[in-house]
Amino acid sequence: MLGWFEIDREFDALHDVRRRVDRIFDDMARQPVRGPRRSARWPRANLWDEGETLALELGLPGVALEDIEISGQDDTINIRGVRRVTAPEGYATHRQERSSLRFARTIRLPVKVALDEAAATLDSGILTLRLPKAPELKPRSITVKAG
Amino acid sequence: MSSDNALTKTETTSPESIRGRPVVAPPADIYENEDGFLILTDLPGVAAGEVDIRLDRNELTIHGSWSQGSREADPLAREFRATDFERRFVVPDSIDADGITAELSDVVLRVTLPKGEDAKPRRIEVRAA
Repeated sequence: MLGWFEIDREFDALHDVRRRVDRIFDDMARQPVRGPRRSARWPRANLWDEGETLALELGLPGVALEDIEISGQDDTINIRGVRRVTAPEGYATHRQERSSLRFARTIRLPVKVALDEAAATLDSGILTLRLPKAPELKPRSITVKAG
Repeated sequence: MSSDNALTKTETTSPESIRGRPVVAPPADIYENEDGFLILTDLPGVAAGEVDIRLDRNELTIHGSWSQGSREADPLAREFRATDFERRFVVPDSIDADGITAELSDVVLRVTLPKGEDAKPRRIEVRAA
């Protein structure tokens, strides 16, 4: 027969298991993204030459502006972020195709750009980055003088 | 949850393009609660005025045209282009067709299909005799 002391210990062990399970669920709740889904080809990009600037369009449907991180150097642009999709509360799920995901992509541009002068706009799921070409690459007109 | 009146989708393949531009089936979520069904689907580049939702007998069709970002100049690189979106769903008879509403916020189209009064679960009062 177990004395009171042993019973306490048994309960301690149970509590420990419970704490561990709680922690797992807490971690899951804190994690906005299910699983380590990553896609190298996401977001998809279009690139346009606008003369003095390059326009880089990125298809980021459902991604909030504050969840996008852009960095880069010279002719390289890094885009990383999270797309968060949450099921509406109080509903049972029949089908879920719109998934949360983490993304990171590095894009090599054909020329160097001045990143600190870049402008970004997000409109209906498309992020447009206007990247001024590095000053030495901007088109310039050369006046031809008659000799 | 898979009762025979559940909302089902009928296609994942892209419908045939008629207008010379690609037609894509957008990803969709289907939810249900006591009051009705909720469909969420992503329509990037689509303005609210360019979404067409029709219910023909039991078939709900969502159509959207991506009009933005269509530039004339040739790009240096292109990985996506403007498309049409189309997706069809088979809805149960119990849907209140007149009560269907839809709203587009950012890129997410939210279609609410309320259940008719007959289809809602009800509570039966038991009286003491």
